[in-house]
Amino acid sequence: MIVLAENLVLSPTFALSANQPLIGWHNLVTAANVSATSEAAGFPISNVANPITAPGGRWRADYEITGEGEGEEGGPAVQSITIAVNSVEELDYVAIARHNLASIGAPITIYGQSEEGEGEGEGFAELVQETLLANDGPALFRFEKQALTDIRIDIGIGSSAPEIAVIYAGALLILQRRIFVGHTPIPYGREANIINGRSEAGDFLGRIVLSEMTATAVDLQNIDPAFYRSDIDPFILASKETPFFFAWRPGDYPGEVGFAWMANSPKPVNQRTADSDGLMQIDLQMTGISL
Amino acid sequence: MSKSLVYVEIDIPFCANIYGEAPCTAALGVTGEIKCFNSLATCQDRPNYIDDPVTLRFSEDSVHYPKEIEAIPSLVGHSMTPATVSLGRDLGQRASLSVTFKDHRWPDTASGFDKYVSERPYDPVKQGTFWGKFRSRQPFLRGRALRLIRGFVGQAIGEMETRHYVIDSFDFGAATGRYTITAKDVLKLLDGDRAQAPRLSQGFLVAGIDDDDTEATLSPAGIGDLEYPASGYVAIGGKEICSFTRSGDVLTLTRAQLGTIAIEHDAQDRVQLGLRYVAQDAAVIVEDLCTEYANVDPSFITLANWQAETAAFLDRVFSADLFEPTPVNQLVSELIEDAALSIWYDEVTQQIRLRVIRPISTDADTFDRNNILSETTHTREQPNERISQVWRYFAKRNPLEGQNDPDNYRSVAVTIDADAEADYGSSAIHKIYSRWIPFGGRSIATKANALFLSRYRDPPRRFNFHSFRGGVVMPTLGQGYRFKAIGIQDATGAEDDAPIQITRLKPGDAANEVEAEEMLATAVEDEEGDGERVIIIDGNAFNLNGRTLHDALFPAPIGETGEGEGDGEVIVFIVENGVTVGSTDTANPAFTVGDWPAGVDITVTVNGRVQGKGGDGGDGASGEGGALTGLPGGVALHTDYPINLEDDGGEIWGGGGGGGGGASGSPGAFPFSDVNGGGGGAGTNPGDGGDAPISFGINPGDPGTSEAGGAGNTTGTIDAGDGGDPGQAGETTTLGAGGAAGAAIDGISNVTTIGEAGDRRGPEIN
Repeated sequence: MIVLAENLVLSPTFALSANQPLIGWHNLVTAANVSATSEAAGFPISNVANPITAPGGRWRADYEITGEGEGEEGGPAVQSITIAVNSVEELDYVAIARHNLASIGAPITIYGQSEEGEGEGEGFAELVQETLLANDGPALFRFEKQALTDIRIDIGIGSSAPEIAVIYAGALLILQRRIFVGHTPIPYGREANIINGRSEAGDFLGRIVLSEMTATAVDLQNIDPAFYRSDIDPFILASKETPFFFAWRPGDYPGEVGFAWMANSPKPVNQRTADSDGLMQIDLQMTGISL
Repeated sequence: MSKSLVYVEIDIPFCANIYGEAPCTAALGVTGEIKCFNSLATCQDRPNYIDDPVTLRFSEDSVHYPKEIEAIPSLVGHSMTPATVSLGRDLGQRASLSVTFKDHRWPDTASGFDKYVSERPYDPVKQGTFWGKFRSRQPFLRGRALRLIRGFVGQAIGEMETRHYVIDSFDFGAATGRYTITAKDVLKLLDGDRAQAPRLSQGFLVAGIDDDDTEATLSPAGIGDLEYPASGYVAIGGKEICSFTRSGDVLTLTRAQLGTIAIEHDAQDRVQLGLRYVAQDAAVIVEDLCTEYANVDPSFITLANWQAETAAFLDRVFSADLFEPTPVNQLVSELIEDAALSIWYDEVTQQIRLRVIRPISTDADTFDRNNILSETTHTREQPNERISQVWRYFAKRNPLEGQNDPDNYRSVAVTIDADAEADYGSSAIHKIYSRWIPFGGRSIATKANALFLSRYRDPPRRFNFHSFRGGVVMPTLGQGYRFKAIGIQDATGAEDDAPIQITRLKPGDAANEVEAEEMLATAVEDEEGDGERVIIIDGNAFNLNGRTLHDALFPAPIGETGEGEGDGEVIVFIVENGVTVGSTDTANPAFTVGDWPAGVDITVTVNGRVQGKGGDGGDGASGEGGALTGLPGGVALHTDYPINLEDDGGEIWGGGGGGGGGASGSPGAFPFSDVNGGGGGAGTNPGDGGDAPISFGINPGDPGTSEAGGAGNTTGTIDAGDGGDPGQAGETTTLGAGGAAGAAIDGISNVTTIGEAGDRRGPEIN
């Protein structure tokens, strides 16, 4: 789902791009610059810096639910994940995938600071307000673009230990054209291999789903050639190895976000003649997770 | 709608230690340049390696897999060649499971990977791949456990069907990024390339021995204590079996045992320790072979269940003398054929199952058109499976000679279904060489033959069909069912059903592929009626003890159990027509009924002959001592236990007494010359003719025969006496008395004659 910073909604520039498709591929999180309040054995925070969503590739807080109160010894505590991005680039999103924050009822708040505070925690300002996510699907937190030295993700107390497989933080790729027709939102792009059971007597014996995945495709057209070269091509290049977050119409359908990876090798083609500025087209086939 | 889940778990070796912390003595720069990965292959301190296996779980890559069940989603697929259960013939074929994984990046975190990942100077996600690293760290997977787990969304792992296998090999296609593990069912451990019984002995003679030496020394020094028990049997040079007692490396030998002949042996001749199973339940033998010689985990066998099965449906024991290492799967297969068993590995319960071949219950679960998937039924006739004659060779003579050599067997039980041969127009002969059925086991061999014929008299059909996974009737490997299909009809065209036993079961994602064989076996009654234990003596033998014979073929008798009169075992001994049971010693009866618990009902049927040994003739007079008396004949049948005796048409003959000795000169003259020996008494064996203690001028008597006493020598003045005919005393002379007649029956008060008495010669005494 998309979570917008409250101040972002009021921004006039954002109003114009609320439904522009978003791709979160740019990522400044590394194993070396991320840290957490705690980490369970075998589930280090460094795992959020790689795109592996499988168990064993996740971070999990060392967080025993003892029934004691917050802050007491042995009791649960707010978990903070800090990313020392030290970016001169302007950043405008944080995204997470394969988490359990909705299931355990743990709220999440995003903070940032642009300069090092004198003491721990000083200088952090709220980027995205405290939010209780609706489900455990990929979540993308968008805020006003700005240069940041650190990002902090606070996770409130939930019913069990929070875990997150992937965290991205960087600058969004905002596509030029909205998507109107011919696209299947990724949560609905379900593809299943199903076997039906029918007896020799013709009776229905049941159906069994053998495998299931979500997939979709986006046919981007009328791309400004300069925009392709400056903004899209770096994404295409990175997508050969790494997945990305994708929201096809974030304003109208903020819940329809996927953490996806390419299923094809997309290649741009010139769509028009040079007289029309060489507009380009590219077909993106992707599979991924949406819940 | 059900959503299918497939998981694979493997147990990998993993060290519980922390690098460089006690007890681990590894040290950077000393034992290695980098820290280990807690695997055997990367261990730098093997003596202190502590195996604490870690289970890795893999799943297919599909979004419907529940996140509550953690698994690495790199499983591409699995393929299975299911086990084939052989019904009464051998161990069948082993199941083989192949699971394939795709390669991917991996952070090396989580249990079972890299304990020191945070200390490595590289990013594990960017350097190398999951299976590339796994291949280097975990090359020693053979024998490790692998589990295939199948279930549906909503089930916990523990509720799913889990099939257990043992890893046999792996293959990493580095170029394709595919890692494949091949696993087998646990009966693979019985294969000859990894399991032999008995184990090869490494001792050999340090020096040669003659054919009458009774002591031998083993080499290399110390091998005695390492490999040989305090007593037992050995085969020397692969030619002679001896029993032994041992002190250090020195064996004290009793030569020429178990049908072998004492011969000379050279230095360096190998000394192989024998493995003997004497009158053991087939269940016990198979369990012992599996666990002692094939390293099968004992928890895979519930011996009590096996013994309950054999007690209920087999009630026989088996014996074998094994003196050459033999593949365990071969030994078990032979026993399967002799005891009419089927043995298979149940991958789900992780149990090796044993079942005696028997009819399928008429109320067994049925597979029919209501629960068989459409267009999946196939039936096939198997004319080559038909058998009309079974030739079962048994009572092996020499354990060191050919297993498949008919000359090495005393007996053969031939069972022929002449009607079947007439019906089908030809014979179909099946030969079996049985090392597991000892002498006297004709009834066992015959019953096994009858079971075989009942199953294969008409060629069993093979049926294939698919049942829907999760259906009401779930197929289980090895179990019996009824089967209905359109083509299965009686002569009127009415629907019929076939009894089947599932011989192959391939579980699929949506359907179970079933192969079953028609189970035509019928209940086979014992030779003389159901429940009787019949021991058939079908070859000439000496000094038989009925109890010993019985215990080599059947479980020990219990007798009365207090549940009512006559509830003890019913045991029948039959001496076949043309067979003679004799004695080699007049002190021992030809046939001793033996000791039995009260309540056992014993019948001895003599259609052939039981004959005591003939007494030797008396020696001729030598010197003033005079001639010697002939020796008494031996007893034919002795019993201290009440028996029924059916001998009408048979012969029970005591040994004839030896004739008295004679002389050539006058009584009292010295020295006699040309002394006359008495004739030997009749018997089996017969008595020798009389002789004389000094070597000059001897006129020996004739030995007896089985039919008549030998003639005493009459060359000199005083004739020696003739040996007694069967059951008769030897002739008395003036110098020496004739030997007494051997009794036909000793213990007549314990004998109840059924019908007319047969040809009994000799006294009947108590």
